[in-house]
Amino acid sequence: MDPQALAQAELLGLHARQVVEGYLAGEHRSPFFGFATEFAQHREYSQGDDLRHLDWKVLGRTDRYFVKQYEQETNFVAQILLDGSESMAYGSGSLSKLQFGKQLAACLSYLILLQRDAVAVGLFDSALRRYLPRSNNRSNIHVIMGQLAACEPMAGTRVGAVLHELATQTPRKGITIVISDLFDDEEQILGGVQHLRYVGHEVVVFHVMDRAELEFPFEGNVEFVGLEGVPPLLVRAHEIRRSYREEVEGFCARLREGCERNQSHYVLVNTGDSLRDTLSGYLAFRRKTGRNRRPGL
Amino acid sequence: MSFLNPALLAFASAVAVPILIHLLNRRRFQRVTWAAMRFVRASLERNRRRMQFEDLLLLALRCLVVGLFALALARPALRSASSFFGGSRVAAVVVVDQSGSMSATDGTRSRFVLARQAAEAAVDAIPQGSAVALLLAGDRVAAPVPEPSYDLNLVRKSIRDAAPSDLGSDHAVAISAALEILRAQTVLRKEIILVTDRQAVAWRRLPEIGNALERAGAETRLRVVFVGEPLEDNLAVVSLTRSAGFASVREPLRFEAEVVNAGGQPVRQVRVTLHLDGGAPVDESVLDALAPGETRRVTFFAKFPDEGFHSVTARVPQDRMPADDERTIVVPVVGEVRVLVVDGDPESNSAFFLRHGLQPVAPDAASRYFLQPRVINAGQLAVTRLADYGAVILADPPVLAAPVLELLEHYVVDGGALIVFPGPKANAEFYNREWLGRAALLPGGLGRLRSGGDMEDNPLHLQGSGYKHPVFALWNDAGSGSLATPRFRAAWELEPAPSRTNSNGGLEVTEPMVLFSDGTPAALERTVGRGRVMLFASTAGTAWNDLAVRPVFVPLLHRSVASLTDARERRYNIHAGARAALRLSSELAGREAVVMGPGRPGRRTTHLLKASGGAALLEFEETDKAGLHRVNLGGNGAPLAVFAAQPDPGESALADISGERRSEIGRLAQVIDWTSDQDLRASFERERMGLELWLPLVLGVLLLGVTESWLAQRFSRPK
Repeated sequence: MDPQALAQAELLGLHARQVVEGYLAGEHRSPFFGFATEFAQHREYSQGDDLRHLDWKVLGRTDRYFVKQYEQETNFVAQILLDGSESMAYGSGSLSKLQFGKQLAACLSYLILLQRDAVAVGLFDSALRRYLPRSNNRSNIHVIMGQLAACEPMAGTRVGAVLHELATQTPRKGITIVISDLFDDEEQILGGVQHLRYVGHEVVVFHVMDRAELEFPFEGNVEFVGLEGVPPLLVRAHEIRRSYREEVEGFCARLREGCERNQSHYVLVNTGDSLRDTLSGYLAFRRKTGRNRRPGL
Repeated sequence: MSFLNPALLAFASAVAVPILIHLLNRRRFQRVTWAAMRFVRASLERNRRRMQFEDLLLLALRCLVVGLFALALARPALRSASSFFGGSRVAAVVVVDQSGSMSATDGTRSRFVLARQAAEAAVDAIPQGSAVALLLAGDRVAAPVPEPSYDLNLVRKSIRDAAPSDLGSDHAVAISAALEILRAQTVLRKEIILVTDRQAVAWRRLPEIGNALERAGAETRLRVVFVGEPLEDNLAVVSLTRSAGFASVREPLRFEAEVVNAGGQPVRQVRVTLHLDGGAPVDESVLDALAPGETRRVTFFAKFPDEGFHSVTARVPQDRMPADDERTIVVPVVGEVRVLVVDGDPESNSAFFLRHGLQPVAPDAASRYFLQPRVINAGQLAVTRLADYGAVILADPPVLAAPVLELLEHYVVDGGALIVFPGPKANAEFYNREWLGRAALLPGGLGRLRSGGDMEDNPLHLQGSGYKHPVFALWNDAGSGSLATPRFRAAWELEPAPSRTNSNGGLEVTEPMVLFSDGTPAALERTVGRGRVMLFASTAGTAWNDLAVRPVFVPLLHRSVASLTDARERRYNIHAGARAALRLSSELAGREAVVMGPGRPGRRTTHLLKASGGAALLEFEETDKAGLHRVNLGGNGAPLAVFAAQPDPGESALADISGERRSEIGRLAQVIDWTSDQDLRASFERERMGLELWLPLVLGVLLLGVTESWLAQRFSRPK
């Protein structure tokens, strides 16, 4: 690894650490706790038990109070897939989508390793380019950061194909976190999510969009030059702003709906927002909803 | 469709400007490297047709705005269109007939008063924003408002200030002047509104009017507004002349007046009176009956009490056309006339007969006779002051030296009278070269000398009747004797000088005064400068003819001299509307003379007397009113000069145009019979076709401009 990449990796790790530790200092509990636990048996409720574990269905059928007991907590495997395609190189502000995605991936990796769970990191564009096998060794964080920092946008995106490939290659259940702008065929993407779900993965999709891509703030004649070899388009930007936003919102809505249909999390990430807020918001949401989920979700 | 400023159509090329701006704008853009191309493309696909439509719509509107503005600058006009926009403005010339016939009244109002009212109504009927010029016209044109003016109040005031005149009628003159004014106007519609009576004589040049209107084009429309009612009765004095001869103190002078019954009914017992200096009648005559259209000549005699300018007026009873009920002429009465007889051949007796013919009285009465001849030989001519003589007679003139010939030329040009009786000593070649060719002094050249042989047996005689020249008109009356009795045994063939253009621009044709029995000229006359010259074919003595011993010799000689000197008198009797040019004493040069017009009170105008040719020249053009004009210094004292403007005799013929003539006029013009207080607007608007489109186009440009701005703003909103 060259010194510049190393420096970038250090920065990335430092930043991830700041974000995650800042978060944990406030929450004191990992939101990923129990992700990989499975239901074992019921036992009768006793005073002091958390009411959230009360099995209401049993109560409804038998009029008796039982709480659900789980198997012993085990380390879970989270694989983080970061889109490194050319479209991710766009950024209207100080950060490109790829840089934002790297930071997000770094934070999640750090967080997962911090609670001694295993994390695997994959970098893809039109295919899976690099894949760091799962590891729960914290010392591997430097390797992950280095790989993330060294990632440069190269080619077009084929998110769906990559998800299918991973679903085939990683049969072990775990959490798959996809960080991408998802500029690919919607059906392919959702097919890949469905495939992952089918093999038992919980899928979390971070849909990374630049603020300009969401708001389209341009005025006057603008020639848009495509990042992935797409021919340029000359438009009067302000005259198509509304329909552009409709297109984007429609795209996001369809992805969200598809993800929800496959019982996956869809998180729209605006690179203009603070990474800390974005991560905190999602983890808070997950902490609230995760414990009521069925096992495996 | 036509264009009033077609050159400005070139601005239509500016239509390319919006297109160029549009194309240049497409080259000015911001370049952005972009990832979410799929959404841009999808949006573009969704909006492409709308954006293309909006682009094209705005481009079309901008081109249309520029194009229509260029079109408006070129002032397009539809020849025929309904006047939805109230009709385009016009350039109009209102012509008010000012001729003598317009003074005819219906008992309360004259035709001219009605014409003024109709003219004001015509101005009121002009579309808003139009310009109007005003002409007052008879056989000449005055222009109170010479160019179309937007100040219609000025035009109305000028109409109200207009006064009737005694000019003749010729609508061709007025319409020609109006067309000349309108030629420079660049408007869609041009109108000539002629307010006149129905007098037929005014339309005698209708074909020329038609040709002029045709040349002017379809945009020029003539409207004829007829005013007044037909006048059944009109008795007029259409001519007053005095007989040829000298007007001298206490000598009876004959006057002839022509009275015409221009009405449609016979009249009886017409009393015609003659007045001296506006006083009581000095002579009168009663005409028993005058049939419709009949003209009768009435003879009067009058004596003048003293020298100087006297006015003579012939008058008939007043009727509804008062302008022609009297006619006045000015007669300058002289005390004596000095005549210089130059004896060119002492061997001939021409000078003898001339001297005694000019002064046919006993020697003791000779000094009191009004003609005072003096006989000199040709050698004395060079040292004689010619200006002291009213007439110079050259009897058998020899070859005269150039300085002498130059003296004679100056004398005639300055208003002198010259009579030449060429005899045997006349050198035809010298006469023709120097007198006719170089100096243009003679009315004709000398041809072959006809003498001897057959002439002795068959002498020539003067024509026996049909005299047209005033000198010889006396012998049209057989009671005055016969001019055919004198026999001419020798005579020069006279060759009339070619026609030439005089100082007033008119063509001057030399006509024989009288002919020999074989039809060749016996005497010629022509105007030279301000004077006149007579050339006879034979001698004044008995060498070649026996005229001098015939009874006709003395009256012929006297009438010839008087005719020449009377030429000066003509400047005191001019046609109404003609320019008066009077030569006064040179001492008056530089002073201001006051001219008092006819009527009470007469029009008073002041003029500067200019030095010209050894005299003070008064030029006066405001002679449109007939009657006596007096010239004096400051309006007091005896007049320096008097002159009279004569009304046009044609104006007495009040016959209306025939139905056929009216139809012919109707083919050229809109004809309206105006009645008092009639609104002409409706009559005019029925015919006012055509629409100038610049105003609707400008409104369209504004509307399109606003629409374009609104659409551009609306289209550029974020979508």
